[in-house]
Amino acid sequence: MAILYCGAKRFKQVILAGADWVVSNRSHLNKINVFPVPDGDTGSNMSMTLIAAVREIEALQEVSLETTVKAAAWGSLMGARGNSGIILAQILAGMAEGIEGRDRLFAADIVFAFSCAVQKAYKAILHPAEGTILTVVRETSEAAERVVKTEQDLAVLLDEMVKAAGASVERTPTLLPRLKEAGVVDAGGLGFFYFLEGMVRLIHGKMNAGEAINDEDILRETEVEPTEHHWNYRYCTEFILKGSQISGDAMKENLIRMGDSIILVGDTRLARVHIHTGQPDEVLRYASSLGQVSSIKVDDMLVQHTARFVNQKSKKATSVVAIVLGDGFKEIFYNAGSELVIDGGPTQNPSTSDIVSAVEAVASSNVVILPNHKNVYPAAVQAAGMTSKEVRVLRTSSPPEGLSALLAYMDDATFEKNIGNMEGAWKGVKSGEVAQASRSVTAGEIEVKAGDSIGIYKGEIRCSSGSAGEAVMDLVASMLDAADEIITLFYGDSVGKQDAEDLQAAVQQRFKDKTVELYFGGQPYAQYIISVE
Amino acid sequence: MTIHLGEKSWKDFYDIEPDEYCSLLKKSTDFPTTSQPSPQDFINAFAPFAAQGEPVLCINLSSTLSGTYQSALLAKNHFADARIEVVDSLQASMGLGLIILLCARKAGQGTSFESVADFSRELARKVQTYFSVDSLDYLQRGGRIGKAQAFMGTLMKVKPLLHLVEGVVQPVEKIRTTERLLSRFVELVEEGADEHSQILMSVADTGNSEAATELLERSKKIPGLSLVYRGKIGGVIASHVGPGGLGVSFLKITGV
Repeated sequence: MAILYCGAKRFKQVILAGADWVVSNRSHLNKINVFPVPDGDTGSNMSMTLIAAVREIEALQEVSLETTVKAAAWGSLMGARGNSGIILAQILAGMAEGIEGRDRLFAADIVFAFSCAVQKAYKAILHPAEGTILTVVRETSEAAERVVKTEQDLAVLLDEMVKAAGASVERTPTLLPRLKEAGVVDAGGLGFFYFLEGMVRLIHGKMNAGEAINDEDILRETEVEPTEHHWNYRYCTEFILKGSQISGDAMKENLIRMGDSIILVGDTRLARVHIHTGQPDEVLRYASSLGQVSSIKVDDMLVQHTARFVNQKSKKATSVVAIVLGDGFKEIFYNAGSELVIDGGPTQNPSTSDIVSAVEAVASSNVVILPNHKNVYPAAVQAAGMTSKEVRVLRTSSPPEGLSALLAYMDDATFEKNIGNMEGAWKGVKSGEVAQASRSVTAGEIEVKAGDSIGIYKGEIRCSSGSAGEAVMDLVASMLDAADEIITLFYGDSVGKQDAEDLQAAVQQRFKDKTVELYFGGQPYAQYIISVE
Repeated sequence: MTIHLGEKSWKDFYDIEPDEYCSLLKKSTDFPTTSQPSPQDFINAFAPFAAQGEPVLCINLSSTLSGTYQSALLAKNHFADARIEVVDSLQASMGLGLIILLCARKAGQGTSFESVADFSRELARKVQTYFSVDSLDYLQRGGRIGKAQAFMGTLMKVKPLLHLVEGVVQPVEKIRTTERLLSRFVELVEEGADEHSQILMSVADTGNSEAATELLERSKKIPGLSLVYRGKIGGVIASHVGPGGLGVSFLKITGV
């Protein structure tokens, strides 16, 4: 019986089945990943991207064709990881544009949606390379356009598209010499093939919802020979940029000077950026000048590569998971060696499962957690008990304490040594914060009016002032001992850079024999976080 | 060895004192370079001893950091009949200084040339050097950063604590305050030591004498400390470490 159209419910099932099939085949995709960089994570990246899309779909209150595809596009954009993940997100976004306004899909609609997807995907990539997922999507779309002229049955159409995708994947080594050298097909392209194949398997009843797939059975074992790669741009850097007037073109032009494999997707308010660069910090600094940077992920591809090919034993002896709020802090924590940074602090508690997933996701089986707030500590301890990994939760109760611990961390030192050094490091730092009082209160002799800036140290209100700067000055004075050397101010997202710099100068002026440093913390809950050490 | 900064050149220690050089370095916008002695310099140095039939023990700056050792080896070949031992110290600055000092003492006690030479090779394996820098730029630009490369690009301002292992710079810890730096230095020296141990150490700095003095003061409580030497990091090494550096070299004999 011919299937002539597809409604919301079936569409959702098909997308889920496709995603499921990619997830099932991810280890094979990881194994054959050599382009653009042989870092062995294409399968994981495409899976994570699709899982994010599926989560968004499953959270839908009202399932229509349009909401489903939009959820898939949005979810995959927010969750996109890696080159191939971002391209996949673009494909879904392109489809969403093509499908807009329809409540059922006929063959011609699908073909049109695919052609939109191709356009969108090519546009997102700065230097589209043939022999990749892009080629596979394009050739699949071209095949669909030929088939639809004579065939209206969706099952047949999809069958033909899968065939075309498969043939296109097989041709990738002829287009991309590096694949040929390694004796593999393109991993991203194959991932897309699996996505389609998963859909067709569902239609032909080969896969039921929830059917367990043993990926050992279907793996086509391929041993990949490491290929030559130039590691100038060794850091795979990804982040989300929120702004008001993001100019994609201007940004592309600037990014191109800092790296390659640039992918830039989104709109003027929200962009997702992927770049391979030698200077991730420079890229992030540039991006922060354009708006708010979040979901930062920086992978050292050389480490990933060597971990896979050069020395299986070169794995980290210890990994660090930090929990912190504020884009500036996140960047600083990543930079200082935290492998994963989760959002969390006084105004936003991470769930235990968030922490467990982070602990499970990091490379080492020995993990140090830096909770950086007393409210987060219990969840971290609970999470530590829920994983088979060896976990130690340090009782850091502020971001500066966590940072001091992190600075003492060495990724190749033993777990015990790291714990000793980190425990020894954070206790030498004092930290306080200046925040706006939400209501009027009297604390001892201090009268606080709602809206005043209050200085808190050791859980007590130490000072209060109508001006944040004055509160900082008073708080620093009350925290400081003669032996202290460095005063560090981390300004929050409500504070302007210029104001913060002026304050730094004023603090330096007053405490001449100390070093005063200023960093952007971006924390939402306090105007300033201050450390004295 | 010779230091070049801007238009000027000096012979390390002979033409310029370490502290004076450090203050010049601090102010200079130029980047310093250094040059090793030529084989001819070594030949000139060896010749008078060779002529008198006196044996020469020549202990050099680590071959991983400098070509000095190579030059000395080439010079040695020039004297077929002389007794010249050329040793790679795997060390620099006061690490090398400590080895030479101890060998000179041993030679002064009338120990045979062969034993002193063996002793120097043993010391090269046993002497440890830890040091800190104000900025990794000098190590980086001079090409001696080694594995401390991992500490480059840290957003927070730190004084990296580093370890010289077989002549290669290894990162130990990112440190913020002088206080923690000094306590870590002391910890590293006294690790595993007790009153039965014997520790010989030297402390040296590049324009950071206040911290060096404080470190010496704190080291007094280290059990088994039997000799402390205070030195200055010479201009050649200072050129690669930068101003504000502090180093500890020590020989620790424990639990025999």
